[in-house]
Amino acid sequence: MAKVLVVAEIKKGNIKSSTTELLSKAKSLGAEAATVAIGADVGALAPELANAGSDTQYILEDAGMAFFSAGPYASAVVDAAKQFEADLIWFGFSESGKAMAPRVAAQLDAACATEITDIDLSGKHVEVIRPAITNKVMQRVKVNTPKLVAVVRAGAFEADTGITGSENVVKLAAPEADLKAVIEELVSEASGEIDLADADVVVSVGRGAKDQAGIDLVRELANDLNAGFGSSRAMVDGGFMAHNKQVGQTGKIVAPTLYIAIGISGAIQHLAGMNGSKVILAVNKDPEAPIFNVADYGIVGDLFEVVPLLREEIAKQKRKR
Amino acid sequence: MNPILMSLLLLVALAIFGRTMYQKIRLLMALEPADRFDNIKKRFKNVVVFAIGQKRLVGRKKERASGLMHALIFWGFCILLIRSVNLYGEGFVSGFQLPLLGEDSILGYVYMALKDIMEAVVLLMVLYALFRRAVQKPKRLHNTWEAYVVLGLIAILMISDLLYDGSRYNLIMLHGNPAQLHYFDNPTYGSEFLWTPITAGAAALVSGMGAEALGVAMVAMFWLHIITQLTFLNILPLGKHFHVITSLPNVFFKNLGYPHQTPKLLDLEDEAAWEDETLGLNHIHQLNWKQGLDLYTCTECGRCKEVCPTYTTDKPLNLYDFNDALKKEMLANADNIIKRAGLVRRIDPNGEANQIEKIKSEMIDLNSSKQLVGDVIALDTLWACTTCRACESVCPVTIEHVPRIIAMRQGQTLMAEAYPKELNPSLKGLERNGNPWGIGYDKRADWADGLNVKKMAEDSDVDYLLWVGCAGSFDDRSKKVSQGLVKILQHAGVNFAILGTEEKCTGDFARRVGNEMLYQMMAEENIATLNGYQVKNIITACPHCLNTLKHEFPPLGGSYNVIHHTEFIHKLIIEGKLHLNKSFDGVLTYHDPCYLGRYHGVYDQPRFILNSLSSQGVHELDRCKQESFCCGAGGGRMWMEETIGKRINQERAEEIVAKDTSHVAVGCPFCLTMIEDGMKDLEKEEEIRTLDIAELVAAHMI
Amino acid sequence: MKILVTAKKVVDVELTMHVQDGAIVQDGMQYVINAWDESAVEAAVQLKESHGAETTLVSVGGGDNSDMIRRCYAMGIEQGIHIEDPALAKADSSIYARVLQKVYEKGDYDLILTGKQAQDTDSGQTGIILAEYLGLPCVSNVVGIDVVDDQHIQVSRSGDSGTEIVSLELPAVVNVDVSINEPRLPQMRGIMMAKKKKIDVMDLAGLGTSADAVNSASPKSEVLEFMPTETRKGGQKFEGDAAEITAKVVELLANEAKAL
Repeated sequence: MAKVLVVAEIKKGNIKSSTTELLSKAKSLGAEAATVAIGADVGALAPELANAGSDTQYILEDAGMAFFSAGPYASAVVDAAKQFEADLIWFGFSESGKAMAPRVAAQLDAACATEITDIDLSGKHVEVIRPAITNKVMQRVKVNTPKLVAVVRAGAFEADTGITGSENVVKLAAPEADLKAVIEELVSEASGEIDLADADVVVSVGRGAKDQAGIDLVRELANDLNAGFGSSRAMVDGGFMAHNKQVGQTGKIVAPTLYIAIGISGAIQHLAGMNGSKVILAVNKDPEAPIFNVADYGIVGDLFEVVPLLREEIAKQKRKR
Repeated sequence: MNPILMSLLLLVALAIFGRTMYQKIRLLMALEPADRFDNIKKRFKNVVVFAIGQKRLVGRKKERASGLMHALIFWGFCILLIRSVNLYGEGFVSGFQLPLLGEDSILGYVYMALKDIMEAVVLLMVLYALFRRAVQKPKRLHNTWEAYVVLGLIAILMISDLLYDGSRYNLIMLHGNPAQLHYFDNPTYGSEFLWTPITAGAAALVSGMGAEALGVAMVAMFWLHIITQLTFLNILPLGKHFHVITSLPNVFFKNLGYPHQTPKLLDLEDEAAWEDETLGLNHIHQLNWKQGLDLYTCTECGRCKEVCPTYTTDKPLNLYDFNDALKKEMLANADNIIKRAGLVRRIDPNGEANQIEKIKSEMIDLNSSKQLVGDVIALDTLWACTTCRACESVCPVTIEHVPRIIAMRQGQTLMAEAYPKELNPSLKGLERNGNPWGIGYDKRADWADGLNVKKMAEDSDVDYLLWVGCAGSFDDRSKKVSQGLVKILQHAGVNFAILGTEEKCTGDFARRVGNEMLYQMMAEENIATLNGYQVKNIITACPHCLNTLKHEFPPLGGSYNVIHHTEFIHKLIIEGKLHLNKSFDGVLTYHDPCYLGRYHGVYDQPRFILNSLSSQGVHELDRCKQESFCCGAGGGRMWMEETIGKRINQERAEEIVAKDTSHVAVGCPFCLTMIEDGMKDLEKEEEIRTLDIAELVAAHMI
Repeated sequence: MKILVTAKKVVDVELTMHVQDGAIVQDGMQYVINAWDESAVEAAVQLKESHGAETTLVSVGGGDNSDMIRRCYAMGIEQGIHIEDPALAKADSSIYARVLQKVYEKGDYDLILTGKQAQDTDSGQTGIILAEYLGLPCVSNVVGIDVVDDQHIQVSRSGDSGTEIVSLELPAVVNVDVSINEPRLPQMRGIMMAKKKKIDVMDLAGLGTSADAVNSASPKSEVLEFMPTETRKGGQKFEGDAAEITAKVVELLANEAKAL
């Protein structure tokens, strides 16, 4: 039986969905699953981590771990991996995951695969599927080492709420701080705003909204749905939306369950940022807009007319439940 | 009158004038060379049409009144020049008569009448001119004291001559000619005064004076006239009225054929050019003599400013100031420029390296203390130009504004490495994938999928190459135009092919922004491909490609017959190979693309085509044909942000909207994009459709 | 300050990638500098211009890289090294990292700049693994670099919760993101100068190492085959009365797609 160590993704005290998804997948492959959580205040999350599907929870709770630092965090993961004797170490698709995975792999002399979409443990060697050439093709990769460290693409694995684990906490010793790379400051993104990368639903606004009034109108829709509020490049360039709201090739790549594109034409660079969404709804005045080539549902119409109607209809649906 | 006084005046005046002219010409000769001595016959013809005929003043519907005003003053001057010679003669010998125009011939009398009337006309025109300047105050005019002084001097010339003759008239007719003054009196034709009603009128004004007073007045007016004229002559070279002398030569030396000098093909491998900074226009002394003459000739009329799309939309490109700034800089450095030219002549290419170095460093010391681009011409000014040539087409003295701008941009890009960095993505796209969007070159022919279009690689034995261009290949909106054009060509049974993925951007915009390196690279690659297929005839839907392929490829080894698709469609219709149905429903107008109209001279063929499909014809915009208003994309501006002033395309879109049409036809992918975008900005894109002529023809062909 | 900057030659991602028989079709392929490395090169040149840093470029594998390296020279890089050896045919990130380690050890560098990932592998590992092998501090996804003094730099990293400002003690490894700068277009003067510059091309032996020393025979993973991605297709598009179609779509979203 394979042993999978899932590195928990924790943000503002919450366990992100990737952790549950990875644990579900591990269990579905018939592996033994453990998780490692690192932070200043993560001890209390052990029960939830157990519930998510892990049978052992390696916890490193230390004030010095409040801010992410690749070196010490990676050391902690290696520590847990060694203790657990993990064959597979999985990270969710985050900046910290991407920063830690190669370190962990190097320290364990293991192969490392980033953004895997699938894994096959059935053969003599582990095989993974992952994208390549800026996501234009997929590759099937054979792993030659006994261990594999992988970063999993957002939404690649599905969470199974039926799967649970058991609580079994192992405390990890705090590693040495990395004196040569000291984090001085964290300039947070505006608080109170839903992070696009996390959100289950994302509503994005494009040039069709024209100006602040249009943006405010679409923002209402986002608020109704408790969605992340994103933007195409046009509105960022126009100064209406902040750069960290830009969804696209040079901005954020998102893969929510529902992506609603309002007044966005669908230039290739934007599509690259949201193509992985589960369901896409697009609203645009131009029936020929390229966004309709990828949208599962398309409404051809004036967003100033359609958005209020959408809000009405969505409210109706919610009342039905 | 008084030969000694006359000789003295002439001597002094002509000596001063000669010296001034010598300096002016010497400065021109110290500037870079220019080959403007070809095709003498055509050059003379231009002088007749533009300079003597005053075509751009009288022939222009707008401001025709003031155009006529100037023309009359000019023609008056030409005619009165003969009168002046007569007066100088009179100064030496009383009763001086010119051969052929003496009292024996009818011509002499006719001339008398003509001169008489013209003096009145000129005087009236001067008064009108003063009225315009002082009261009407047209925006384009700069009201300088120089203008008033000159108008005043002309008035004095006319008045003094009329009063001179008027006094003479009175002395002869009323006071029995006590001084035995000579006048025409031929038995057949009568006395000269029968032929000079204006003089008679002037005489009436001073008839109250006594004989002695009249005698004094006559002499006084005579010398006033002579002195004023000689003073006037010497004032001319000092300001904008130098054009009185230089405009005829300036028109004579104007560029033939292609509307202005094509950008200089720079030899980028020439190390000396890098050292001497002669790549592009970096220093005032690098102007050529024709450009120097252009600066002398600027009359400061402001017409260029008025039609300039950037000036109209509040950008800092003011061509009047541009000319003025350059002229001032050139004149301020005149001595140094002349000295420098002298040093250049002293360089012996086979001489000692040390000697050459020494001379070169002396030359550098003579450079202007001001940066040409930066101090003399502001950066924003230089980069605002769309190269539309509206300025050049209205300039009454045929100044070539655009080449200087391109040359300065070349200098900025190559030597100073200072150009708007926002151009980098487009330039990189060109470098890597042969189109400014940087889209993979392998997708260049995707627009033609399913249309059964032959590629040259499959079969190069065709009559025409259809040059699609980057927009027609990659821009979603323009692809429809390419597809429409293909339909037309196939329908008419034309044997053509496209280069497909072998086609690359002609490099037009790279050249317009001064990036000679990229331009030459693109051009050379394309020429190798075209020559490899032995291409002879090219049809293109993009006037910018047309311009580059036709006029700028030849020096690099590529000579082809290139025509615009509207010219070709026109040909097909005339030859009966294509028939159009007048089934177009709507109100149609046409926007003349700058590079099709003002660069290529094609105005009629598009209209012919549109008239063939629209029963209501074409409703012309106010700014049409030669004075069409630029869409704003030329000169590389398509790839730059417009941050200053009003958007040019919006200005044009507003003009179209005001015309109450339902459709506007264009013949250029840039215009198509810009005007359609303008309509979207004004939220009129549903009411007014912007279409290329190819799309209209494809929809209405039988 | 001495900077070692990496540049990998990759396929031009603007082109459409065709997969045939498990491999990428090479016909008509074009190669360019990895965009992330181009940003690293630009960052290195900017440090040269602002702080007088000395810059050396290293490129591993790729065949004839002279065009790419000359272009980097034209941007302002002073020296270039190209390591090419048949033994590297199947190199993975860790093998590249070993080779780069050898290059680093032969010189006296204070800072290693790399692009955070390569456009062909999309891996994002080599720079970090290199730091591990060298035991140097490393920050990835860097969007800003400031020089504090000869021994320290400060970088901005785009992290999960915002921008992290990190102080690094040199020598260090910094992996940059494209958003750090807009790489300059090489200008004519630079291009002319670059034509005459030498490139140091060597194989593993020339580098003073061997295939065994870099483990080139044992890649930790290998690509078995390439497959095309599933292209997303458009679904249902509705035109007509806004109220009607909006109601229809929301109903579908809720019941068919189960997305609400």
